[in-house]
Amino acid sequence: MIELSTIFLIAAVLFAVLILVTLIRLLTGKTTADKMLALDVINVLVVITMLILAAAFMEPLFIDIAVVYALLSFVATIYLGKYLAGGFK
Amino acid sequence: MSEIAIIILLAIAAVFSILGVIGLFRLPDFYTRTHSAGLVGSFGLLFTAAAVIVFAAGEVAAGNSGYVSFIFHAVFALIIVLITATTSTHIIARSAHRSGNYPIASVDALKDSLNPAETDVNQGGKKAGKQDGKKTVKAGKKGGKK
Repeated sequence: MIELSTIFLIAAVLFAVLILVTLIRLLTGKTTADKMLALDVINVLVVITMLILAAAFMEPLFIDIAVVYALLSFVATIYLGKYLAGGFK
Repeated sequence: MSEIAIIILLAIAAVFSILGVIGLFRLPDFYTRTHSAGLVGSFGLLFTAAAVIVFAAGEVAAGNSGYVSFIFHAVFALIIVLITATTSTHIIARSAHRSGNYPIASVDALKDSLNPAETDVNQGGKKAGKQDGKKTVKAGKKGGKK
């Protein structure tokens, strides 16, 4: 049987490739909303990759960092949505 | 034994994430693309967190009691991201609709709620806008803020 950390590392590499593919969408998106959507998907994929890496390296601290990253990216998405909808009134 | 369950759960998460990213490129409309983005945010994260929890539970069953905190951290991250990912997808779709990005391939159910007559009532007697799309969006935004 393969080692469990190897399985998790393979999955982490796969999700890293998915992040790169979504980055292409972020750079070539036609409208601003498309780019924001690609950025949102990248945020979720980074959180998924951090969860997998926490299991691969057996460090629970990585999951806490993933939670903080999710909350900060949520704030960034709120501000970008305000910008796209026409600013602060 | 738990290796097989972990591999299956990670494979399901990978398949859903790959389908979501492909849909981000291939779907015809912005609002259908939000659907595939939600696929990554819900099922990809859900099955990954399930794989991590199964891994930690297997370690706890093997005698490493230090992995109990691993389970709680993973559940906490799952709850946080399930709340924030769905909310941010909603924020993006809402702000895109208000910025004038209207659906092509799907039904625009918000079109009736943004007509000038209704927003005129909300604004308290201000002059009704024209039938122009941009004007309608602006009036709707101001009406929502009041």
